[in-house]
Amino acid sequence: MNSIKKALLVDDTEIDLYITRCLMEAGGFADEILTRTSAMEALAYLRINADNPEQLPDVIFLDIRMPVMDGFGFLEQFELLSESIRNHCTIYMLSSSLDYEDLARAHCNPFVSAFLNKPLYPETLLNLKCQLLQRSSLNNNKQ
Amino acid sequence: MPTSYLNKMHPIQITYGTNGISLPLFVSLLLIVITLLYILHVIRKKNKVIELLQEEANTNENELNNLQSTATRYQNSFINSPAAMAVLQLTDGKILDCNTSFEILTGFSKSTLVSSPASAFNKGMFHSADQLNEILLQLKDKHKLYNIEVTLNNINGDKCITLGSFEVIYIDNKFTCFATFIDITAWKKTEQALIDSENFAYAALDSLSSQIAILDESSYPIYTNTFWNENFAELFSSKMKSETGIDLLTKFKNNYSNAEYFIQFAEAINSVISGTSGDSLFEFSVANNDTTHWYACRISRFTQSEYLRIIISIDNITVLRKAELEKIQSEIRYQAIFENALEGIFQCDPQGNFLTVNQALATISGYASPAELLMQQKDLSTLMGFNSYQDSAFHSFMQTNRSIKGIECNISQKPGETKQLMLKAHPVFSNSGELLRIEGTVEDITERKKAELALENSEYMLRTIFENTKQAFILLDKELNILNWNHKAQEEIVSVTGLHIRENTSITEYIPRRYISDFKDMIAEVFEGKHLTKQIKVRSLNGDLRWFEITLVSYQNDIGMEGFILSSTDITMAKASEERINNQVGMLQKTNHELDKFVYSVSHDLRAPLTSILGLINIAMYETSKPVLEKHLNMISSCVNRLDGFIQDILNYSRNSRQEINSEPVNFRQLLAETRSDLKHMNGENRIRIKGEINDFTPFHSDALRISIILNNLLANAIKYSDPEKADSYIEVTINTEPSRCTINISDNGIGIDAEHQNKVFEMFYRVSHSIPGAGLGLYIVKETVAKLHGTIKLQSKVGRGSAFVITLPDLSDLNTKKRISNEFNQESTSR
Repeated sequence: MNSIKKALLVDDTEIDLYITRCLMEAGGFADEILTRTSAMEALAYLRINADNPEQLPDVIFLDIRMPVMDGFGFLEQFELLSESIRNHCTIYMLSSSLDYEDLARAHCNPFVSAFLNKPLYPETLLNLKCQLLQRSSLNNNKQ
Repeated sequence: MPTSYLNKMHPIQITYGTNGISLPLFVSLLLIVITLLYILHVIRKKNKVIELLQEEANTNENELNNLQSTATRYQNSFINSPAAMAVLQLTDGKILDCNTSFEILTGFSKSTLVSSPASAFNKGMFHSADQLNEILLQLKDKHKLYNIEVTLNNINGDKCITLGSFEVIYIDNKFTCFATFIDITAWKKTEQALIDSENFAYAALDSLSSQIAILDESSYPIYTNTFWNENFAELFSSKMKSETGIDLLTKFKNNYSNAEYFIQFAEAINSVISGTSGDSLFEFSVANNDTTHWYACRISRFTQSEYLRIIISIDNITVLRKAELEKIQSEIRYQAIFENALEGIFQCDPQGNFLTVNQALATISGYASPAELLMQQKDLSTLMGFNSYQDSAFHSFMQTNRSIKGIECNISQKPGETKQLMLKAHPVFSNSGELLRIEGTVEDITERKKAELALENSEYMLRTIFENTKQAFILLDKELNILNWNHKAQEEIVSVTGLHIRENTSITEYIPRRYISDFKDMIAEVFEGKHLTKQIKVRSLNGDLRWFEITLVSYQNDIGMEGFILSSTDITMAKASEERINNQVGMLQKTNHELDKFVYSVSHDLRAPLTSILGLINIAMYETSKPVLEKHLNMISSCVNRLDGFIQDILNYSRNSRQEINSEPVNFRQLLAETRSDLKHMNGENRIRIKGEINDFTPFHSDALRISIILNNLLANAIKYSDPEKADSYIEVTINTEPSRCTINISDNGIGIDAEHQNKVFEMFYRVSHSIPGAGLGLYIVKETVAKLHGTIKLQSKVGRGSAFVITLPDLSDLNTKKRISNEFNQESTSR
C-alpha cells in the first residue's frame, strides 16, 4: 500500500475541518478526505458502510469537545461496531484540549493510536502517514 | 422415947404426918432402938459378959443418946436438904418417901408420889424405865451407884436431867434404895451450848480459805484448820501428837535448812510467844518448781483461860501479788505513755486545779517542764484562757458528769503568736456520785487548723470555679439521683424545662422525654468504663433553638464506682458557625466544581478559537491567492468574535456572582428595547419577529442590569435556535408586574429542546447543538442570575414546536428585609 485511501475528520467546528482538510490536501495525506460535524453523523457513515470496506476510512481524526456526543461518546459506540470496521480504522484524537484528564482517557482507550493537539502541522501529518504506511505494509507481509 | 408411938407405926408403910417429924430422924431412932434391943438380948444370953455389957450398956446408952440426936439431925437434913432425895422400894422402884426438894423437882406432892403404884407412876416419871430397872438390878450386887445421869419427866412432861446417887439401906427390916438427885439441867444446857459454839468455831475455821493454826505457849499445835493441814502439814499439824512442846526454830533449822522462810516463820512465832513484839505481820514466798507462791502471815497472841495462845493465819496472796505486779507494770507503761504522749494530758481536782500534767502539755503551753507549768499555772481555765462563760460551762459539764468532746481555745504565749488548742475532758466520779477529779487532753491544732483553712480556701476556690464556669455540671449517684450541681446547670435546666433542680431527685425528671432512652443508653455505655459526648438540640421554653454538648463520665473513689458527672456546654453559637462553615464549604465545593469545569472549558473553548486561528495562519502562509487569503482572514475574524463572545459570557457570569444586587425601579420597556438593539447584528435576527407585551402598571424593583442579562441570553438563544424551516419565526416576550413580583414569559416557535436535555440545559458549558455556536454558558448564567434575584425559572419545550421560559422575580424594594428573611430561612432549613 502506497497511500492512505480515505481519511474521516470528525469536528463540530467548520473552520477546523477546513484547516485540516487544507493541510491534508497540501501534503497529499489521503486520496479522499471525508468530514462530519458530529459524532452521530460519523457513526452513521461507518454503520452504513460496514459491509463495504472500500468506503470505510483508513484513518479517523476525532475531536473531543462536541455537543450532544463528544469524542469519548463516539469511542464507546465505535467499540460496539463490527470487527471489520474496528480493524479497518486507525483513530487519532485531534483536540485543542490541554486537559490532562482528556489525555489520560485517550491513552487508556485501545482504539486511540495517538492524541494530537491542535493546531496540526504539516510535519505531524507526514510522520503519521509514514507510520500508517509502515504498519499497513507489516500487516500485508503478515498476511 | 414412947415405943407405942413407934409400934403404932405401920411396919412397912411409912406414913408421913403433918406434925413436922422428919423421915431420917425417924429412921435413925428406929435403928437405934433395934440396935439396943439386940444388945439387951445378947446380954441376957451371955451373963458372963453382963458386966461388960453393963458397961457397954452405959456406953450404948450414951451412944443411943448420941444416935438419937444424930437421927434427929439426919431427919432434918433429909427433909431440908437442897438435893432431891427419895426412898425407893428396891424391888420395883416404888417411891416410899421423898423430901421437899424432890417434890419441887418433880412437881408432884409427896402424898401423890407415895400413894401411887410403882408401875403406873414411878416408872413413868423416869424418862427411861429400863435405866431404872438396870440401876435397881446393879444395886443388888454393888449396893452403891454414884453420879449416874438420870432424866426425869416432871409434872409438865418437861425433861429434867439429874445426877443421881443410889445406895441400898436397911430400914424397917427392909432393904430399900436411897436415891439422891441433883438437878443439872441448866448446867447440861450450858455445856451443850459450849460444845455447839466450839463446833461452830472450828467449822468456821475449817471453811476459811486461810491457813489457821493455834499453838500453845510451848509452840504445841492445839488446832490447825483443813487448809493448814493441806498446805502446811510439813511444818506442823495438830494431828502430829508427838510434836509436844517442840522448839520450832530448832526443828526448822534442822529439817529445812534451805527454807529461809521457815526460819523467819519460827523466829516470828518465838518473838510473839516471848512477848518481845506484838502481832507479827510478814510476807514470804515459797518457790515450788517453776511457780512461786506468795503468802501473807499474821501471828498474834491471845489468852484462853489464862493460858497464852498463839494464832497463826496465813493467806495465799499469789494472785493478789501477781495482779499487783501487773498493775505496777501497767502503771509503768501508762506512766511512759503519759510522759511520752504527743497530746497534752492532765489531771485536775474537781475545782480544775492541776494535779498532774505531762511534758507534752508543758511544751504545748510554752513551758519547759511540767513542774514549771504547775508553778506558773494553777488551773485549767487560766491555762486555756477560758472566759467566764466558758469557765462556767466547763464546770457545769464536769459537775453533771458529761464529757467534753472538744473545745477549741486560742492562747497567745508571745505577742502576735496565737496557738489553737483542742481541749477534751471528762469527769471521774466515785461510786457514790462524787466528782473525784477531771482528766483530759490538750492538743495543739494550730497546724491542722491552718491546713483546714487552706483546704477550705481551696474548696472555696474550686467551688467558685465550679459555680462560674460556663459549663453546666450535675453530679449523680449510681441510681442517677442528683447529688450536686452548679449554677449554670440550674439556669439551663430552668430555661429548658422550667423546673428547679432539687437534691436527691432523679435526673430523668429533668430530661425531655424523647431523650430519656438515649440517655439510658449512654449510662449503660459509661458503666462499661467509657465517657461519652453527645450533641443534642433542644428548644428552650422561650422558643429558642439551642444546641448542647452533653458529656457523661463515671467517677470513682477508692471504693469503686460511685456515680456520674453530667456536664453540658451550650454550643448553639459554635453549632451556628459550624453550620455557616458547612454552608460555606458547600458553596466552596460548588465554586470549586465550577472552577474545575471552567478550567476544562478554558482548555478547550478558549483555546479552540486560538488553535483555529493558528491553523488558519499556518495554511495562509503557503497561500498566494488573494481571495483565499481573504477567506482565511474572515475565518480568523469569526474565531476572534467567538472568543470575544465567550469572554463576554464569562464576564457576565462573573458580574452576576460577584456583584452586589442593586435594587432600583425597573423599566422593562427600555430594557427590552436595549436588548433588541444589542441583538440586531445576530445572524437571522432580521427574519425573526419579536413581539413584546409589557404590563408594568405596578412599579417593580429589582436589579435592572441582571434582568437585562437574562433577557439578552434568552432572546439570543431563541434567535440561535429558531427553526429555519418555519416561514414565520417569532419570539413572544410577555412581562407582567404585580405588587411584590413580576413574571417574564419568553416563548418561541424554534427547534425546541428534547425532553432528555431539558434538565441539562441549565448546566455550565452544556451545549445541545453542534451546528450552533456558543460556549454553553448562556442558560447557566440565566439560572444563576434568576437565583441571585431570588426568582424562579421554568422551562417548557417540545422538539419542533418551540420553547417557553417562565421567570418569576420578587420585588426587591425592601432588599434588607428580604435578605434577613432569606438568612433565617436558610438557618432553619439547615438546622433541621
